[in-house]
Amino acid sequence: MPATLSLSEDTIQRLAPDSGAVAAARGLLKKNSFLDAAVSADQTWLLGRCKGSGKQPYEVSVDMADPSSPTCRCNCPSRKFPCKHGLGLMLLYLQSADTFSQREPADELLAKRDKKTAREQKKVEGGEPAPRKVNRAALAKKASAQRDGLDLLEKLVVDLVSGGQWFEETRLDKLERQAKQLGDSYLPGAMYVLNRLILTGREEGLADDERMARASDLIGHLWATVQKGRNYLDEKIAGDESQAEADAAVEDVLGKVWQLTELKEKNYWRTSLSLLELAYERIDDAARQQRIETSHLIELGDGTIYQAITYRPFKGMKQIAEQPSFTQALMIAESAVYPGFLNRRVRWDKAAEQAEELKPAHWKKVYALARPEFKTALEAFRQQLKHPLAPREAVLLLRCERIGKIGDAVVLEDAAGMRIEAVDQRKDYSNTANLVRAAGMLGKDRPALLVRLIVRPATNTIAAYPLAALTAKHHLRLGL
Amino acid sequence: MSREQLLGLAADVDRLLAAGATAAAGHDGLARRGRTLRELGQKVAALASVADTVERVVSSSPSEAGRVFLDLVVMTRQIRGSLAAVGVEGTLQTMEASGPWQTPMPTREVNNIHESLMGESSSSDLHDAAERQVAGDLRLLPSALAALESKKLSIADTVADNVLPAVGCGVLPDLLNKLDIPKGKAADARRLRAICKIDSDLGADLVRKALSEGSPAMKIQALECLPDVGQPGEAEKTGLAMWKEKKKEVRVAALRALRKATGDESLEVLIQALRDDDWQIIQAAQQSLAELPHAKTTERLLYEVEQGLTALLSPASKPKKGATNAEKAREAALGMLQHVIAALGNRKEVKNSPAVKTLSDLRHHAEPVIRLHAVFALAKLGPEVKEVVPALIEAAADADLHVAEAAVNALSGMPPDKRETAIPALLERIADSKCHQHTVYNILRMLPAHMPRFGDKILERMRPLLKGKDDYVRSGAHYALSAIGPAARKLLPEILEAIKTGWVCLNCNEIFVNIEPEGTTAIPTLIDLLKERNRQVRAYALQGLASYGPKAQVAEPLVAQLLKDRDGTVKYNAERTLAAIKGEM
Repeated sequence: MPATLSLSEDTIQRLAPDSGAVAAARGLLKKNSFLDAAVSADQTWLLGRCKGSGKQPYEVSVDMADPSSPTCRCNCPSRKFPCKHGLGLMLLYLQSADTFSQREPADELLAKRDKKTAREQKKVEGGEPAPRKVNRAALAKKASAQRDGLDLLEKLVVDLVSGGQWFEETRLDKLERQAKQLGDSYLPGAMYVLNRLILTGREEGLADDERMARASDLIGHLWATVQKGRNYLDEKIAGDESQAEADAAVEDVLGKVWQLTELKEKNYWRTSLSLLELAYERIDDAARQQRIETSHLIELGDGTIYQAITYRPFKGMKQIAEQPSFTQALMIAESAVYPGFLNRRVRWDKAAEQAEELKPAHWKKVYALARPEFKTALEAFRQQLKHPLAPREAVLLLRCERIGKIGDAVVLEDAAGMRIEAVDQRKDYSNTANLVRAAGMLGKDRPALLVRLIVRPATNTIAAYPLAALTAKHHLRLGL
Repeated sequence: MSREQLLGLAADVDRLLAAGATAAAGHDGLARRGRTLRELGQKVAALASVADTVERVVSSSPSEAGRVFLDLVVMTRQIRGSLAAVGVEGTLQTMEASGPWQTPMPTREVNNIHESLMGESSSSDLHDAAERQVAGDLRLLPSALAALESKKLSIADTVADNVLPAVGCGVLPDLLNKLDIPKGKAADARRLRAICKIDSDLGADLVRKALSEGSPAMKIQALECLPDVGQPGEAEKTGLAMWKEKKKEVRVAALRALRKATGDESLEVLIQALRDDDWQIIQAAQQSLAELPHAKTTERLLYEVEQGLTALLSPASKPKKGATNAEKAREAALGMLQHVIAALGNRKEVKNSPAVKTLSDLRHHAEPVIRLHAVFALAKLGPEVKEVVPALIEAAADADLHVAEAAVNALSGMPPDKRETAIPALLERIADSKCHQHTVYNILRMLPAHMPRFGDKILERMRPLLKGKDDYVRSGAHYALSAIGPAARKLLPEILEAIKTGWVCLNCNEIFVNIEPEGTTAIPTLIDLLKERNRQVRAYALQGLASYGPKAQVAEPLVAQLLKDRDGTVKYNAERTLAAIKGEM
């Protein structure tokens, strides 16, 4: 029997379009659905048939020519890729490789592999992609709608603050209707902020000063949107703003959707990224009506914290694949790095991704990359806050000298004695409770914490929402 | 000073936001704040622009107040950001040591299990993770601890039995913090159970405490846990002391606590409990007797069987108060005998003991209920015990329907190679017109697996069933033939003929393609059937043709005509069949 291919459960999890597919694949194994499982002599093909709901078993194959990025093929009608049958065949091989006989793939499969290789080769040799076609008429129409939208937003915000009592139910109902109009004007960013304001107005159990401070923050954001939005439409940049900052804000304000080619053209692009996921978050955002899945990744070269993000609207969530969570180190040949602030979004083509098994050296490296002093992190965060449209939060890796409690507050302290309070952001789950537990295990080893720094409007203090804790030997994820 | 003024300004702005920007114009407090900032601006240049904005707001007209005030809102927002403070005063208390912890699960899977634990999605992810023993992840802890109180018992129990033990000793402080022994209810009982699984020494101490001062729920759980965590003999002693408690649940738990007992008294107590009227008590005694390590358990149960049989034989068990009492005594003896037989069948060691012969002999008892329990007990022993299959073959021909069915069910649950010797007898059974339809149906389900050896005989026996009058049996025959596939080809004419009489097996439309994949005979016949008056036959023929897909292309014109059929089902099937013929399904 051939030796085990370089395949791991982590690879299978990474390839899966969603966790349901892995669970379904496990179900196939439980039901003994696979027939004639085989592996090729050169160990680069897994072949098998799988009993399904169709008359004939499905023909399943996994091309392992690139073991970190296997290609699954199956003749089932599933729209998921890879389907549960491909994932199941890999799981079966992981579980019981010795039950696989030896068989060679059909010529048809070999031809498909050759075609794929040729396609990839062509991509490499092809050089620069053809220039994008721009539909100028459509762009002009959109810009005109956005201008009208900004006029509407201006009127709406002025009206909102002039009369006061913005939190009354009748005002909130009116705002709700107006927020929808903004969505029609291609101003999704403003619509989300307005929705958040409505939710803040309606939130039960919120202290008045907290409600007012939050509202002040959101209304300030809306007014900045009005002011900057027109400039961005005219492609003007204010004196205190860099091109990168403007590009980042454009995404938020005008709902710009960046294409990979466009990012490359503008040099928002990096090669040879070495990434490792420190935390993964799934947030259902009622204001955006989206599930936001974020993989927080550290670049092992320079310690930058990047974010791979997938936005999945509640309506039609199943049509969009989940953001993968990575349990292996990733070598990314080339990746788009969106314009942004402290945490920039990254996106790459699956073909550019190579996975590597995690080793203790990885954690040693990550631990060494943590910021030893809170001061520099806070300075960088405050700098970000100076831009009126920048996110009011930033994810950073901080080394803590001590983690302890003062009364009920959980407090992080650096070597210089500077302290930040750890707080929760979710009502239904406590990352801080998990941090207390983790600190009981790692506290003596001066752990590094991946935290999201946030400003608490009512008290105007910066607090840390813990996402992960690590030392040179351990890594604990703290939230969902 | 300037910091306080700026933060004061931010607070003013928040208040004025509620009051309205028009109230800000000419506002005295804001004007004072502006003047103070102006003075400070002489020392700190940055404050001058803030003072400018404040003064613009104060001096604005009602029509421009909104816009100017919004500029101030944006400005104070940025001021807030730059002045946002950190730091918490006080003495920092170091966290108590805890753990070890780990977070090895893929995050997406953790999210799914979290949703299961919160009752927001199906519990299958949770049970699957528990089965794979991978649920020991720190991130599941908050929801797992909350789920101990879940009203969904399967979730709460899985957490106590699998999830928390997989997390390990790190979770003990959380469990102990909430454990309420004197007033504890179901959730506390689960906490105690989880603690016992994680740390048996700690669990033993808590179990003892629960037995002496715990609420009834805690006592019951403590009794359940004691055999696993207590000293040798401790559970036995406690069980014997408590098995006569007033509360039934406590008695049940006490009987379960005897499951590892070795003393004679415990054995007698469990035997005695089999005579109880309450099925929960009886079941607890049976379960404990199944595991009991006492060396003479099987022997003692066999003695009880003998006694029971004797009691049934002796005429009316010496009635003292007339026939009614005699009937009662007989019923009691019968009941006891059933419970003892069941307990005997559950014991693993019975497989190599004289009890097998006793159980086989009981198969011939005059009382059907005794025969039935003997069949159940023999089935549990499994086909590895050589007496079992012959006894079940014989039982499959029992005059009592329940006994016969139980025997057939037991045989169908065995691997085909283990029950092969039963097939000739079972084929005789299905030829017997007196055999009950359920029994025939269950036998038919077994037959496809035995085609290699008994193919011809099976098909011969099935042929008359296709023409029979019992729809249930005919359906069974169709399913079996469909599963048999091309080997059943010689019965295809009979199957097609049966349809012409108007009878169809609605859910078995792939029978034709399974038996005759090329469709040489079936497709033309099915096309003919499309013209039948009976709408069920037309609908069924369409389904049969659909299963052939593009091979049934010749049927396309006739199928297209049926798109206008009067019957809704026929129209629907015609649409689907056309799609299948075109290869779209």
